[in-house]
Amino acid sequence: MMRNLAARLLDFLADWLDDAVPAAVLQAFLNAELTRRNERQDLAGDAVVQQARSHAREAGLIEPQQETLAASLRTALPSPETCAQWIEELENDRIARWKGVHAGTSAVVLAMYMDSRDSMDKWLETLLRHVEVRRRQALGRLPDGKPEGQLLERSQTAYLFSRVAVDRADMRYLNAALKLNDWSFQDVRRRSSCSETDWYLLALAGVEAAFTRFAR
Amino acid sequence: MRIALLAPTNSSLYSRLLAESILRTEGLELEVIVVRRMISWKRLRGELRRDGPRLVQKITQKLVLGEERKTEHEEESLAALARQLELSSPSLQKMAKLHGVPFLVAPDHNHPRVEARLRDIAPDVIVFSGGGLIRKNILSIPQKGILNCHAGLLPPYRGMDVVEWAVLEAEAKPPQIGLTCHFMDKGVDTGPILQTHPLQVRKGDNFTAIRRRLQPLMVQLMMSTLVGLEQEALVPQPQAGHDGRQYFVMHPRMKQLAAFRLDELT
Repeated sequence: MMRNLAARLLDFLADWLDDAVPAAVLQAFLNAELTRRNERQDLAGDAVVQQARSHAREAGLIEPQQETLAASLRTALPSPETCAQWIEELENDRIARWKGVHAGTSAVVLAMYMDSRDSMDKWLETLLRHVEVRRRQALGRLPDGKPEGQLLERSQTAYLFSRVAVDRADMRYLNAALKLNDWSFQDVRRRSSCSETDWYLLALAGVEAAFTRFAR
Repeated sequence: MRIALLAPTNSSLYSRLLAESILRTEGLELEVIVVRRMISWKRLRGELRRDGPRLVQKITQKLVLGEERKTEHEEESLAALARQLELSSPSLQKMAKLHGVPFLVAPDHNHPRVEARLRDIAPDVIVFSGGGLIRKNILSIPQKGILNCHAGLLPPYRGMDVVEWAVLEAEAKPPQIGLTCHFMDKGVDTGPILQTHPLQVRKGDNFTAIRRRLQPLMVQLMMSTLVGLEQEALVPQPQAGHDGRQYFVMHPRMKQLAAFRLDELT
């Protein structure tokens, strides 16, 4: 009797504290933010937001319209020269360490993935393990793992993972992307900059589009 | 064959069933039972920082509710196996006292005290029944290796929630669900394989039912592997890193999708 009561109480507590955000809440947030950006010219034009809108259409969350925007998104990321220099400066080819990643890592890896999807297996697997093992503390900024910039790193990594999941039919990446978006949700609502929110919208839309494909 | 048992908690039913089975098997000698301390503030602090609220769920499932919850009347469960074996000791400590087996409690299995005791005993095999990662200092101690029973088929399904992952990835084929007894190495479920046991999905199955059915089979597979090792009838088969993938805790939306796929399969 007491054991069952304790079990029910702990189940309730666990549900109450569950850090997964319901899909409907995330989809509503994505829809509302995209609509707001549609209505306000000062928020509308960015390549990141347009790409988010494209994926939201793909996921059936907003009205369909034919467009391909990946090339325009590429311009919002580091140039090939910057990426090449970043690789040269990388110590021992390690893109993620226990305490986190160097500032801008996610943008560089996403840019490189968009340029050439081959020969990135080791880095992608390293990033995946880093996110899954370090969870909320993943993608902090080196040298000391501080959380500044973590929101942007999370969203860019989540978007990267949503693409990798689809391209390689590997749902482990979609799984990690879903978690990254959940962990960022409250922070984005409380204190994100415009650019951080834009990238979060892209990560949400990318994940929704990927999920829709796998759920078919 | 001289055996040391590493257990996650003093009351773990899986560990108690293994200990009882080892004690009853001719040719196997249980030299020590090592139990991880129930509360370790260092461990809790680390896990809370990493897992946040999920830690409450872990504590709920692993420590407070235990394996016996809701399985008392199930035919194929750890509780049923305990009844069948007439397991009476409510804890490993009491079992150790009853059978005169040395018993040790430590903050974790890699603790220097555990290492010193295991080096002193020099077991042929360490049986791992849960309780965190095992470090290099312990991995090198047993003459044959540290034995683990993984709730998935190796090499393809390493890591966490592999029953759900196997179903999610099965599409139209039967999912690769089952158990694997293997020696542990520094990777996650990457050590040499000794025995596997596939499990068929039944009509009307859900994940809880599948996991419940796997649990008593884990004890049986572990025991058959120990006997096979004692009789030198098993040859460990090494795994290549690229033979499988490591899976992680499944997000609730992916779990819903996996449950939907399981419904379609059954």
